[in-house]
Amino acid sequence: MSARMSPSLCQGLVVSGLTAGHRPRTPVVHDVSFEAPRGRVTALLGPNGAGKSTLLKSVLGLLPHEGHLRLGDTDLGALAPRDRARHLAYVPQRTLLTARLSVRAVVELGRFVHRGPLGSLQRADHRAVDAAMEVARVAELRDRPFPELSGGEQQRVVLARALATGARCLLLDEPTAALDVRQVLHLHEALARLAEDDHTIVVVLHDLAEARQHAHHAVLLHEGRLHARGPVDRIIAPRTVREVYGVDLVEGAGLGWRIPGVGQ
Amino acid sequence: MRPPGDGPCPCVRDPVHRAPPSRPMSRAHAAWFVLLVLLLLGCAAALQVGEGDLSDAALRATFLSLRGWRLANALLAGAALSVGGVLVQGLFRNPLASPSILGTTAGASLGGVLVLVLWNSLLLGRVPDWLPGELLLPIGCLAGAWVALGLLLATTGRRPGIVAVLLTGFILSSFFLSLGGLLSSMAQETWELGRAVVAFTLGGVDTKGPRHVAIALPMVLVGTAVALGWSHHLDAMLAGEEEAASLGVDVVRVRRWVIIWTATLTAAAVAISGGLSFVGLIVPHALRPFVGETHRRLVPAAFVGGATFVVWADVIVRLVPSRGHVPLGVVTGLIGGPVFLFLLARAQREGRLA
Repeated sequence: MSARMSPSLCQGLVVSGLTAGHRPRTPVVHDVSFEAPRGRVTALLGPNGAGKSTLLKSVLGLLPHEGHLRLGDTDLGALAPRDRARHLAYVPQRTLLTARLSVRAVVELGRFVHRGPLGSLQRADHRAVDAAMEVARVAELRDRPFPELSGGEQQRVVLARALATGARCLLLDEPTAALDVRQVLHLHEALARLAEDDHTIVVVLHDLAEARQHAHHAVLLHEGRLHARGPVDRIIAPRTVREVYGVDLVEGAGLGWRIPGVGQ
Repeated sequence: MRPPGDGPCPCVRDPVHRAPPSRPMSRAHAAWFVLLVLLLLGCAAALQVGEGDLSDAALRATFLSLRGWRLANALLAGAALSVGGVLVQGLFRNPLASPSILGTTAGASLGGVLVLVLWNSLLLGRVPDWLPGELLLPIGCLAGAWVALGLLLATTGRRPGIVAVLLTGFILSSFFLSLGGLLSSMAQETWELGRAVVAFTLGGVDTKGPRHVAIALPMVLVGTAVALGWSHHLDAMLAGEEEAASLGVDVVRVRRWVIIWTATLTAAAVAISGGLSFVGLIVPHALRPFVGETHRRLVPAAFVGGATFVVWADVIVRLVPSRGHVPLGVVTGLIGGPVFLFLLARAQREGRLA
């Protein structure tokens, strides 16, 4: 690893020696260490069952785990779950929310830890909610009932909920799996803007082409262990892809996409 | 018109952030207005209707006071069951859950019967000096309700599906009813005890007085206050335990306290009214389209709505032309059963039972 990525200098998310699983005695993830730099999108890659979601959820504190977790200067392991939620925000592959809450009410759920003793939202909370809805481009949906939205719109609302928490590190679990190609591009465009705004983004992705197009760094898991980490172009390479996925990478194959008029 | 009951709505001073949709808000206002009118009418009717002639000046005060306490018990029982319904529906993320369907009511009822029987057989009707006799029944109900909810959660595991929860609740309910039946047939050996047990299990507030109110009132008020206090936690848990935990909710703690207070509310209702089925199911369900699903608004509406429903059911009990006495639980069941079937059928059609 280069000096730039060494834990002492990295201002993003630092995972060292993480072992985790749904049951403490039978871990799914073994001794994984990596750094997700601040201001960058880091893709978490690996075949089905490699432990990507388990890793993400244990970083969030949703699963039992051992090892050290740091975000910038903050030792996440020392924090109570409520305080960890101030630093990390989660976007699941698909939310389980089916209640008829308005979009704004869903985004307001992101302010949970910031609510006062009586549970009311302050002016700062409303500003954070508005700003999050702007960034995730759901401001115009604010009064719509959440269950009536399309999958892509729901995913943007959940992203807005994550942004409303004010956390500087976003962890996304296959957020694009249920989206069409246009929605995928919009989501990645939002993530890129957040990264430019100095957020730390860790996103589990299935599609290697998508990862190579949109992520800066990659962490490749194989059978619960770290296989490789580094700049995404170096990780998604013929040798690693063959070793981990058992397929040959065909350079120049596949289709590329972009939103008309945005970027070149 | 801004009904006084709308107080809990989180009013935002900044005009830009005023609770957005004007139509749903006015729907909520209309619902509150209708609720309060129905409640007032129900209270008036409950004082006017029933055995006894109010024109007799000598007995008028006595009749009114009897009906007044009966009314107070009906209000409390309805409010408790309805708020309990909101709590379990939030906990299981399932609008089809309610204390009666989950077997909590049957458990509380069994606990009450058990106490009645034990008190008469083991203690021969005597109570230790330090224990007021009126507390025996609520203690039994409380223990029964806690055991029932505990058993339900122990059998269904951490992430139960809707069908598993409903089936387990049904089985527990039947089992508790069988046990209750066994106890009550054993109790028939003593005529008075048998009568007391049957009267208790059938449910009703007709013989309930100030002592029952004094026992139930604190439980119901504290339970409702706790439900309001947990309202944002329960809102977050609508998105499932994992997402709620990622938002900073201490899911294990919320789960534990919600269970304890649901059981307590149910026990309070059962102790003063016997088993009233379906109140906790249909009242929150009827209110959601009007006041919305956020618990800050749903809990107060359910409190008033449940009270209104049971008060009217208790008025109907007195209006039914019958020689004997129609139990209150029969009336709520007759209304609630068909409504529940309709809801279940609709959920099945819309594929929400999977």
